[in-house]
Amino acid sequence: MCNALGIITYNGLNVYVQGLQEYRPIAGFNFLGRYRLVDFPISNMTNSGIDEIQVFIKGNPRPLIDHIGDGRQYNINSKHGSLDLIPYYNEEGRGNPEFAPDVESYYNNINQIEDNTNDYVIIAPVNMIYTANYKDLLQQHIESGAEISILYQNVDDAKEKYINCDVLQMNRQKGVLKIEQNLGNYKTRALSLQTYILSKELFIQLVKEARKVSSMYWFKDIVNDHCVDMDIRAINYRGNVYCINDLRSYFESNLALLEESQMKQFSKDSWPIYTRTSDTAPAIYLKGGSASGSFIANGCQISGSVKNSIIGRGSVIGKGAKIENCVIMSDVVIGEDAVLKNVIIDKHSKVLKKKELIGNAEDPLYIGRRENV
Amino acid sequence: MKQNNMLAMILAGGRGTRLFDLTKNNAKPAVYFGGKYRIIDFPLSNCANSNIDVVGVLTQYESVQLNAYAGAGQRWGLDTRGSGVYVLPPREKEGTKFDVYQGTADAINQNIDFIDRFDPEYVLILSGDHIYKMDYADMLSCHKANNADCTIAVLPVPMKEASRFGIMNCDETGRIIEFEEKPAQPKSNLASMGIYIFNWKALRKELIADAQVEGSAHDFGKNIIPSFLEQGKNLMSYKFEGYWKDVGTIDSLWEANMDLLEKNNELNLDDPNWKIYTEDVPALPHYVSSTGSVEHCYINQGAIIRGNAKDSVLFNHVTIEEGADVQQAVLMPGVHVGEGAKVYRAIVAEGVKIDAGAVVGSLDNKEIALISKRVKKGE
Repeated sequence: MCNALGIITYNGLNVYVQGLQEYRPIAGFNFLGRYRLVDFPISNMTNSGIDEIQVFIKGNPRPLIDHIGDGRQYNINSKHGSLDLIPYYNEEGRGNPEFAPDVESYYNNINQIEDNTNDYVIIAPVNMIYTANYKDLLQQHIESGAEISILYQNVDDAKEKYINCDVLQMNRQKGVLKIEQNLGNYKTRALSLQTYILSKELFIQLVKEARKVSSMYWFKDIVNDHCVDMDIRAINYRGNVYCINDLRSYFESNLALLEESQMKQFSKDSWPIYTRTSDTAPAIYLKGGSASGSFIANGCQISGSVKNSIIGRGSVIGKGAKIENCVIMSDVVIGEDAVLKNVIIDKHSKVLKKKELIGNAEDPLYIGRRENV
Repeated sequence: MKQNNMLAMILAGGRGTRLFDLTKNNAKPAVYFGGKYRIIDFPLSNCANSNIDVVGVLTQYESVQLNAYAGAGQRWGLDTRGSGVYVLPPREKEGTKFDVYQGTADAINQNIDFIDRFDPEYVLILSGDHIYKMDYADMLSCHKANNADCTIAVLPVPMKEASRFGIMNCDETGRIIEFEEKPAQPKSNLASMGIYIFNWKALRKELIADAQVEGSAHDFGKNIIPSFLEQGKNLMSYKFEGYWKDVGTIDSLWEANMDLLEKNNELNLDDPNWKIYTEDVPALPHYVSSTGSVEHCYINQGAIIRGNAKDSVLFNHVTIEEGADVQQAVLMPGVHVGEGAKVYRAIVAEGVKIDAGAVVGSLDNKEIALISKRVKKGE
């Protein structure tokens, strides 16, 4: 048991993944052939002993309602645990939902949060993939005496990556001085993992206060305001982090995990990543089918060659097709003899007519959902 | 029960001695098949897909694993209100002598109270030993249309093999007129699949009568069906066409696994209209490393292939290390094949380690090797 309510939340407008995000919120992005991004923070929480979790989403909730269902797959006790999916809902129909900050969603749900019996809240985003034991982090937070703890990691490629993501300015004692956006001016930055640990009481107070300051305030804005008068500390996260904030980082994060040293973090028996099963049969390699350096999900039929790629559940790779450096989502059909390199193909698409699709490693080609190419 | 007033009872007590070490500490229905399944997933999924809500699983021999497995009815969707999977080992009852199940009929007889609780009109008797997909609801409609007392599913088998089976001799309407267990001179090639639908009232009466018969084997094939025939009851056959395999031996279990490697194989485990449900083990998709190669394989999630795999079925969490060569093999969950090891024409049991450099089986062997213990180099 962990004395915290888990909150999984959506990102601000600083994060936009072209293509994919037109069809679903980031939480619902397919990842590594069989997961959706939301599986990672939920699994971290349930593995940490948090069994009351609220998942706040904005945008089309359908894929997530379908995916999360009753939440049983995440190993949550069905009686004293709960996994609530909370789509953004604007009762008065005022304002533009596109701009609705996380604070507004928290406020809409404030009664449920107030009634929750846990003493702490742990907030995690859906676009930062890592594994962390929140129980240990909560202990560290309590022992430190800090009012708010924020998880971060030092990165040295902030000029090209993590653009517009939150970064922290800290003093030597890891006291947080400021939360700002990474504008790509510096190589080295302290990337915020947007993971906050604080008491529930303070959380509620900050949500109410943020609403009073501005209807455009995000939770990080009110935390930033309090850097001057509160004890806000940063906790260094040492494992690998995969930050998904644009199409390129989505592509690179998937492919990075094809390295055995990196995938280990997500294949431990002691820290399983749960997801919804689709009860598909194992993958089959038919005549001419081969793979190397790749993840192939169940239900796939492979008759072509797959190299350094991820093939999602139930996809069919035709005879003589050559797939290299690609992220192919579920139920995709690649026709005979097609050659694909550096391509992302969204769910249910078919590549039957076009025989060659070549993208750039830095700028992958994206094929939308249910498209026929 | 509300769906079609038929309850299913799966006879899962068999020892499966011809599977040797695979059933040493494990009941046959819990044996692994097809990269991610266990044999009992097939009758259970068939029940779920045929709108049967209540399934009793009669266990006896080494039933701990099977009890733990079958008790979780949600895996097959058998967990709505009024439905469930009930594991039924022999139990002590008021007023009767406690005893193990003496035969297939006795197993049902000892659970009459369980069945009565649901007050079904029909009872479906299944065995937990076979790999097949079948719509029991369709069989029930035939049973009703024929106004039968009992309907038995039959499978046409090659005439030359018919003497290995229980053979049903039928008239042109499909009515069973004679039943012969393993006849030397078979008159027909319709083999009983061990799948019966009974009108519960008629079966109940027969079971109680049979229990009193001295010397009875309390067996459906040997006693109940012959007695029904003798009484002139209406026994009908239900012809099944499709994939059906008794995986009672190492060879047949291996063959059934190899059948899955064929494109458009008859069993088709990927039919969205008739899914076979099983336990989902959390794991990344299977991974083939840059040193690995796969050819003509059936591979479940969680497997890692750094060596060579050909013509094989690989379960979850199988690891094949660099330089290893696996061909025509079935590797059950968690099998580890060390560097440079060779595994040919074999079934390797759950969790077994084949050490680096070890050699198992041979491509020239006719028989299939069963490996159930760690194999060291040079053994």
